[in-house]
Amino acid sequence: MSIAATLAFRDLRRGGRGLLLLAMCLFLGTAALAGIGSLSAAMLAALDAQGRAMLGGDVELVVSQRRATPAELAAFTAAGPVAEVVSLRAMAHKGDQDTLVELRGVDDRWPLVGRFRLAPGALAARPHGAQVAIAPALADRLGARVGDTIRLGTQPFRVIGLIAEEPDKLGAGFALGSPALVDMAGLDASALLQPGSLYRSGYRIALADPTRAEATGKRLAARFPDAGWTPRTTENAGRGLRGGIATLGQFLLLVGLAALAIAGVGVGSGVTAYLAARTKMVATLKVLGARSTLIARLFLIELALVGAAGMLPGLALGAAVPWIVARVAGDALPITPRLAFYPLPLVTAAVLGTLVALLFALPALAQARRVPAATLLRDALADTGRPSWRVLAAMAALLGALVGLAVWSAADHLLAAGFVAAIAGLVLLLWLVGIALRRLLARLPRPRAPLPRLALANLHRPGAATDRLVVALGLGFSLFVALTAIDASLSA
Amino acid sequence: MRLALGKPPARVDILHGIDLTVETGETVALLGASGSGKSSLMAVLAGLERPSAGEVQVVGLDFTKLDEDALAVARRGRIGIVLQAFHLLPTMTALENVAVPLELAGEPDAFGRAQAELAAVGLAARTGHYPAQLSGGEQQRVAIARALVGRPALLFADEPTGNLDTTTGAAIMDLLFARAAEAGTTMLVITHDPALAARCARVVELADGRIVADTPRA
Repeated sequence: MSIAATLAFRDLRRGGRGLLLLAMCLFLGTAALAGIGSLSAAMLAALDAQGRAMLGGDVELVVSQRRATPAELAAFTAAGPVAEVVSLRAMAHKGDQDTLVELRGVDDRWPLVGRFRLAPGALAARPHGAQVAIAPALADRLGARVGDTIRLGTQPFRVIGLIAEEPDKLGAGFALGSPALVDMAGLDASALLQPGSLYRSGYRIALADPTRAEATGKRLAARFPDAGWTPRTTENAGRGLRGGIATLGQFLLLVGLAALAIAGVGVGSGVTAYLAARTKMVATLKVLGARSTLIARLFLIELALVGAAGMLPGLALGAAVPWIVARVAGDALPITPRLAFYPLPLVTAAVLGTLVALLFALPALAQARRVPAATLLRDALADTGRPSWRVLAAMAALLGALVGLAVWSAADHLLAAGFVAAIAGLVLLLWLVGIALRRLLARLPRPRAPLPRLALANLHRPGAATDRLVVALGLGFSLFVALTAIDASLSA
Repeated sequence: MRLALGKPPARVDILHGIDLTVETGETVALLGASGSGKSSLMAVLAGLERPSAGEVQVVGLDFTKLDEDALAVARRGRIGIVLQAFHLLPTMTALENVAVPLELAGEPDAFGRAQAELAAVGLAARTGHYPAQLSGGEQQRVAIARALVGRPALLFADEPTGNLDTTTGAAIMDLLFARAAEAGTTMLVITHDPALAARCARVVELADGRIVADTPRA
């Protein structure tokens, strides 16, 4: 082991508590980033894995306001087994209760993929004729129970059960009403399909070779060029949900980055305080023959060890977030996350955490390196001069890498770049406010009472942390306000 | 040699025209009132401060031509320093404190030699204790062991008994002189104490940053 590592281990053994703030900041920051990334990846992986079930087949041909002609149906059937689903919005009535429903009529072959299941207590496995299966939310809204009768269009339907599992529900897209399911005979009996009615007919085909889904869809649509057929494959099934998850993941990632920036200020303050408390130790080591590079290496090793001690549990917690969320909020999620280990979000979080820690710790490290040996004999004035050009260049490189990675890892690069620029602008503004505050306080007449005099003096004395405090508080408050505003706009 | 500290207009002249030669193996007491420049002179001679003007030749090296890092390397194994406030490394045991100079110099068997040095200053049973677990006298003995473990050619002691009671201080100085004599070390002791100065072969007195008396004894 090198002498720097040996000294670092010895120093941490008794004095490592001073770096607790560093470890906690990095733990929280990396846990947030890794958790957001892992959950987002788990949801998207689940979408990928369930794409066929969400579509209800390998390819679907969709047409509006009509059903397939016998010739079209024959062409579809020639490609593989076909299931027909007709979807429309309708009003459901029970007594004086009316509500909008997403009504689907399905044929006997539906579902080709996945399993349709009713909750225990159902009167039959699936509806036939004047029977309907409804979502639990619809039952609540109408006050209907299994065995009750509700009316759809002109036809009364008996509720035979509550839907527990509907494999292609997510692929159906945005829904205003709760689902209700009937068979084709029931749909015909409802008399809801009239000329001019707004409905959509989908024909899902299970192919012998699923890799030919896109080509088959295009071929069948092209065979009836004027019929208005639109092919869909598993690639674009759940596109809206996928976009929603990606957008939410990106938003949370940016929130995490902002939190990490605030944590960075904490890291800077923690490391500065820790190294300031070690000024005499640095001077002693120099008296005993240590060079400044050894001092820098020693503290870099300490920061790396403590940083790793904070980041590794943070990454572990982040990796476990899909499991935690699935357990805590499983039923509330639109899709069950695919529980697996996702290394990329963890690596991204670890690199971002490391870059932030290095960026904010570097000035304090450079300061510690410059402590003169003579400090032991007389308290040498703290070297508060500007960091050397090499330190500034290293900080610029770290900042560039941090911004580059943040923008690269975001789904919308332009949005991420704008967000980072906004944070940079905010930090600059808050820093200027901090400087202005210090100068203003220094010019104020000194209060006569000792307590306020001491308090004010602490805010503008040389070496005061007022600038950093204003930046940290301002960033934190801005983030809080932004989150509240976004939450309010989403809720409105 | 001259030394001035600070930046204009707050620049202060500390040492003026110091001209001092110390022979190998000599023991020299630096006497003087507070602010006379004793500690500053020691800082320059130990390579902790760089003079503003003049030349400083120590253990065959021109200190004025070395930067802070080169001076640190130059001190390894050549110069030992004992300070009034001990300045032990608080997160290391007594044994580790004494071994550090040897480890920094890349010397083999640092812990074996440190153990022997601690035994020589009467602390064989306290090697695993941290500075906070030792008395003031014990801490100063650890500091002496640390300064002497590398067998330095030159030893500086800045008021080494200033923080100790009279009895402990006398015992510490007996130990310091005995260990330095064993190793044939040249020693410069800063003190206010005439009794301590009397134990040195030569007494150099400073006032206002100048040498005002240089008296060989016996």
